[in-house]
Amino acid sequence: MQKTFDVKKFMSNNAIIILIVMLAILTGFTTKNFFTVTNFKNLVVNVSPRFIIACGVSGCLITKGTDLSAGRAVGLAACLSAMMLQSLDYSARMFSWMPDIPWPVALVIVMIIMGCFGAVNGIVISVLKVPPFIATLGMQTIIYGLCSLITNNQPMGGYKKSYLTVASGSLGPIPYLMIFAVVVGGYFLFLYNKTRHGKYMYAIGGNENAAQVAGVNVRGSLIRIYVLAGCMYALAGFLVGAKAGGASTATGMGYELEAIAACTIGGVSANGGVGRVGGILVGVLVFEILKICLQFLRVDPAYTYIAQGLVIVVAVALDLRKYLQKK
Amino acid sequence: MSEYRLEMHDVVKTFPGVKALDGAQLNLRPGTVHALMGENGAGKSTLMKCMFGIYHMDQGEVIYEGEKVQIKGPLDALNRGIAMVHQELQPIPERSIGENIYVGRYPTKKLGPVTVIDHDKMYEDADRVLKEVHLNFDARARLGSLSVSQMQLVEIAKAVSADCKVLILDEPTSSLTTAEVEALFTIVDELRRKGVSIVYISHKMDEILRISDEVTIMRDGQYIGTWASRELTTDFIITKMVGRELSELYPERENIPGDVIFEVEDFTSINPKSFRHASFQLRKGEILGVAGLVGAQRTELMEGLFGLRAHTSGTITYNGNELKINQPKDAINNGIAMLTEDRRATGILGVLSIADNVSIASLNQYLIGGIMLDDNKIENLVQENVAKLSIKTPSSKTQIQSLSGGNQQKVLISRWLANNPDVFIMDEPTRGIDVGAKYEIYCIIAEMAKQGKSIIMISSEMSELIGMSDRIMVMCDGRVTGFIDGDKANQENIMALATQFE
Amino acid sequence: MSGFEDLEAERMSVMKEPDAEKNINVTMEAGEDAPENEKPKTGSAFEGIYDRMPDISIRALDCFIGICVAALIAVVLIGILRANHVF
Repeated sequence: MQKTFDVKKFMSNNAIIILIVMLAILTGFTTKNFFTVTNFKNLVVNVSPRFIIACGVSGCLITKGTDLSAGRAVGLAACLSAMMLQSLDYSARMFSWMPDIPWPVALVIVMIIMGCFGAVNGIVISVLKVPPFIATLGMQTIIYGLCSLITNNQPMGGYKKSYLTVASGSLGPIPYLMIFAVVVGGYFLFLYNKTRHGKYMYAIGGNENAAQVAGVNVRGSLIRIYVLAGCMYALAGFLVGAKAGGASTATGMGYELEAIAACTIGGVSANGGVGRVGGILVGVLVFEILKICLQFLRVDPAYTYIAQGLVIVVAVALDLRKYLQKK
Repeated sequence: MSEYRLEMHDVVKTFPGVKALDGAQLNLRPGTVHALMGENGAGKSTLMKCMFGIYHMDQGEVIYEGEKVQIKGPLDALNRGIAMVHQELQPIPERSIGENIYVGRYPTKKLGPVTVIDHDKMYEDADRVLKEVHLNFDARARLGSLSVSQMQLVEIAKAVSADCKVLILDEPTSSLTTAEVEALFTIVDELRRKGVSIVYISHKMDEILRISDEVTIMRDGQYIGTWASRELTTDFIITKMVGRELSELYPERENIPGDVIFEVEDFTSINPKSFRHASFQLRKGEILGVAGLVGAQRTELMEGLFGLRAHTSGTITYNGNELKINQPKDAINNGIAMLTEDRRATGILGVLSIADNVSIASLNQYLIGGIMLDDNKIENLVQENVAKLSIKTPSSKTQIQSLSGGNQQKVLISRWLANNPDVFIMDEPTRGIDVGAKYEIYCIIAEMAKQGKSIIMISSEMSELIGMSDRIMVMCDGRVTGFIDGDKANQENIMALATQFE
Repeated sequence: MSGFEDLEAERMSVMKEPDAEKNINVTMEAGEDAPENEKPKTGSAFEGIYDRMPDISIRALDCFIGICVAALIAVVLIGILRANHVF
């Protein structure tokens, strides 16, 4: 009796993951080149920037907020990176006066800029007490507008070799992109589990009033969370630009939805106070594997969209169910 | 045919972390008023909700008129003739009194092919019912036009109108005036004569002894016993409800109050209706009780001192230094701790583990290299407190919300003790906690005082204040009205100061 | 700080007096019963949203999840079949 119950509970908690695994197995057996190193590398390279974005958003979700500006922030970061890292002898250079900037410097500059946007989000949410949904929705549109202004709606390309190598190169068999993701993952793992900031974050998400009584600096923590998120969008945008070889105002559109959905699948509850880095990775993988499988099976992308939407709905419903059960 | 109309045998009901009912029993005879008594948390309301089908019993059976039944919910119960007047009213104030009485079971008639509510019949019946219970309200009047106590009487009318065989009254007189209580007793008498079985749940000793025939006492979800009312005395009932002799309710206190270390002067809230010009002194190792009616602004004053509420004027002096407190962190840094009134809302971090809850206010103490948290140190802290305060929990990683109220409170106390505060404000520390855990918390408080900590204890339980305080500060309507020495305190002088409105 | 002002609005307004005799309890809480659905009015739109949803039974939710999962499998299958020109 005990055994059956455990299986059922496992199935219901991890329904989506099980389904995706089955789909992957199905795809592997019915198509060529699915279980190959190339394909795996492809997966890793796609997952890495998404994982970084999801990590950024996770802090917002854990504290019962959200960040709808993530996608456009990634786009702006990609465009800013592009502006600083176009090849010197590229004819259609956006800013001909821009000096030759090494890519790490450009990355830091972009991170600082997007960190500031994050700080604005954090301040509006924690000090002005504007609901995160509304605050970040507004920020989303503002960032899009700024991006349009700065790029004059011109798509950009012609990147320096060194910048392109960031996305295309590898350290031995390991793509650079994966290294970025691993470093970010490791940092968040440490931050969430072994630092005061992490504990305060979970406390605020669990019960903001109680956290306040316990002496947690709620405002400070929230601002830090949104600033960190902004930095992650910057990094992700930088990498996405390198990977695509170009950037425009359309870059990053809608990325936040997938990031939030990935977090939810991975156990970050909309009710706050809960969420682990491992789960976030699983969530992102679920989405990417679903995409790749359906690609391999040559399914019309329209069906993929619908499937992804259903996955999101099921993830939220399962989260709600877990919460109701506890009551 | 059994002599009992309704029986509940061996009822067990568990919620996460709490065994609310453990072998509860109830046997109702027809034409009897059967009182159900017990402290808060004894399981009285839970037992009734089980009978009604609102909760699903883990074990146990309900036998109604000789047959084993499973009642599916309030409407099913009502159809069988079992009605209940709840402690928490659920009126619909926008609608008429008649509609409230018949909600869910409106009389209907056919208008051609359509079934509609028969308003005329409904109001006719409602008027009759109101007459039966000696209420002369107009059934068509809006329910919201009545006072709270009148609404409670309407609730009772509603239950009576159902022509029930079993009527459960859960704290029926909590909002009633003396005259209305008399009216209620008349109704109860008539129903008893008609042969109805009445379950009367109440704390009020004098009412119970007056109106009931039999008394069942519960404690911690368990069935203690049933006695005929005329054989009972107040002391006997209290002893059975509490489980220990009256003299043992509160521990021996060995603390000796020393010099004044904490002084509050002319503390006034920014809200003119809240606390004003509050002043008091607190000595080292002293337990200062704070008494007052609901609305006296005791909690608000303490929250103000702790930095949760803003104040416009007043000073706080600690060991000669004036303190500037604008947020909880300021208070905490100065050695003040506060256990809030509503631990679920502002105390526990429900989804987090016990380890997280205990350590959250003192994380700076467990750092390696200034950044990384030392999990071992935190674990040691938790184990120390689990042992010292007898916290019952499977592990330090358990979610705190699955613990019982008493254990949750102990975890919160551990949280504050980790900072070694000198002044510990406790707002209703034993509210919603079972009897055994209450005593343990009193012991903890006594021990803290003995070690030289100063405790400010807000409480609405008279006996708790008298039993635990060295001195009692009384507030009324936002002002401090007086102080009473612990050994001279009694109900009368406390109430006198608590009702000293300007 | 605003959370506390919100909580205050929920405090009882009835003045209570203790009984004449030695009494044990004057408080009106339901004691240690099941976790009640208490939710202080929270500031943000999505905060604590799960508490404010209408009471959905777990069975209904399971049904809904089942339907969505079935739809998901159906969509994927249809997509695969169409891609292979089955229909």
